[in-house]
Amino acid sequence: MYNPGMTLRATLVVLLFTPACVVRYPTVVPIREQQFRSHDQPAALPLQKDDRADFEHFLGYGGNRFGRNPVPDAQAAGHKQTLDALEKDSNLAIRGDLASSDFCAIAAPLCAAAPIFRKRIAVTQVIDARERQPAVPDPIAVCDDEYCWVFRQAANRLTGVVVVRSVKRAQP
Amino acid sequence: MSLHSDLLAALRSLAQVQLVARLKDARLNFPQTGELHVFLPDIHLITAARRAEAGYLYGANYPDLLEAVVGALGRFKRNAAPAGEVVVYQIGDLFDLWRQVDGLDPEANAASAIQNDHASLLAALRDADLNTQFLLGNHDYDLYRFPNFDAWQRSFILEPSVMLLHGDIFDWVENLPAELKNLVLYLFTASHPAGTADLEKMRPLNRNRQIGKDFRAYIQNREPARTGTWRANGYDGESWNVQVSGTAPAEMLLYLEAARARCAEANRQFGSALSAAVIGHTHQARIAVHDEDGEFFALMDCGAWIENCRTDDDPTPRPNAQIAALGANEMVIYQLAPLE
Repeated sequence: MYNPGMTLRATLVVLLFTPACVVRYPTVVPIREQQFRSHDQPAALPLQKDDRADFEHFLGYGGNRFGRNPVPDAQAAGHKQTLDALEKDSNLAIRGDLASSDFCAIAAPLCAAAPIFRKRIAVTQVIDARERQPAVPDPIAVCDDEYCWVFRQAANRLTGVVVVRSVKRAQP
Repeated sequence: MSLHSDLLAALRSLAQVQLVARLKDARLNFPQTGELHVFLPDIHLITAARRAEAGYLYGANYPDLLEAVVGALGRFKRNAAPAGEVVVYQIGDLFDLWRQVDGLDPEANAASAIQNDHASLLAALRDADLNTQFLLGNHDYDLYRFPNFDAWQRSFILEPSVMLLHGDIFDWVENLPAELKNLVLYLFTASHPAGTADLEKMRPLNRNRQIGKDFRAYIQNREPARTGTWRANGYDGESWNVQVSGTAPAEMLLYLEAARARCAEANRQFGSALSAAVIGHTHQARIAVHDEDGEFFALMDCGAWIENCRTDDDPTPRPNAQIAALGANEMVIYQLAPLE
């Protein structure tokens, strides 16, 4: 006999256990078209004056390298802190051997100086279709609300960075 | 000179080399003299920090030597071309995700952390010019979900007659329901390669093998693996230390019958002519042969670069550090050690 209460309970049980069985695929960051990336090759770190100017232009034009109209940067203060932080060698040390999704666990000094990265996920699956094969070691990417900062690394240091306009959109 | 002898010379330039086993037999039906397939077995890399934190009693053997070997393989491959083709494989369990993290690793951070901690070895192995062909093992099976490892496979067919796979499926394939057995059979043919959806279906079977194990003291072999009798010699091309079913001890024949049965089934179903399988997984280097009633089948287990082995004439544990090769109807396994 049909029993609505039993059906509801069964449905709840299924819903409760389903997420545990679903395979999660990793977050991916693509290196975007030339228009939507700050540089063609990562800017060397610590950040130098010319590269900083390129980042400021890119971020000031809404993540459009070829844009003609400035666009207000909603995270301007955070981005300025980040660029300031990337100029200092002491902020570039990382724990590359840490198996963590917490970007700030990996890049603690940078996070201390650039709070915009706090509580953000470290993404190691960066797709760059210009390359012959995936980079080794993996880049480390971290996305703020609108941009993804893709870092190159070597020997537990951040060695380069390129910023791309994120393909993700905030929920309306 | 042959590619086999050239490989031996390249290895001897940087390591002590001993012959673990060699099989020379036309019935391998792998006659190509212009190509050599070289196999690097299980390495089980984890980060140094994780090893200390989790209290693992062992790690990958001779990492510096391994990196030198990979570099030498790159030079060997370049020098052999264009007349000869050298193909290098890492046949699974390069990373040990099971030991690196306690649970799921959905963002692939464990694989990245291991790569970063062994950066120079990984850069050498994943060098575009070396073009290493990677297999997924059971300890790094989950890499199939990560874009940076899209090229890694579950099996290869080396035409016309050799099956290459990690070997872990032989742990559990006999106990599977029919539907999943067919899925496994697809690993044994180039015409129905296992896709992501297939790998997804097999994933729980793989994970079940991990349950209840901490791998703190060992992965496969609590005691050093038996490998028969080795010899140090020049290249003479003769068979050596081949374990033949019917006469060899059972432990030396592990998975020979399982591999033979699966290959025979694939031959029937897909019209292939598989007469040999190359595996890793057991960390026990050996060549075993079924040669009865007119039927010939060979299994080469390439060994490992982790845990220990021993020979029949010397019980002293020796760190597994093996490399294997196949070509010109000849399969061979070498044991390496650093030069003194």
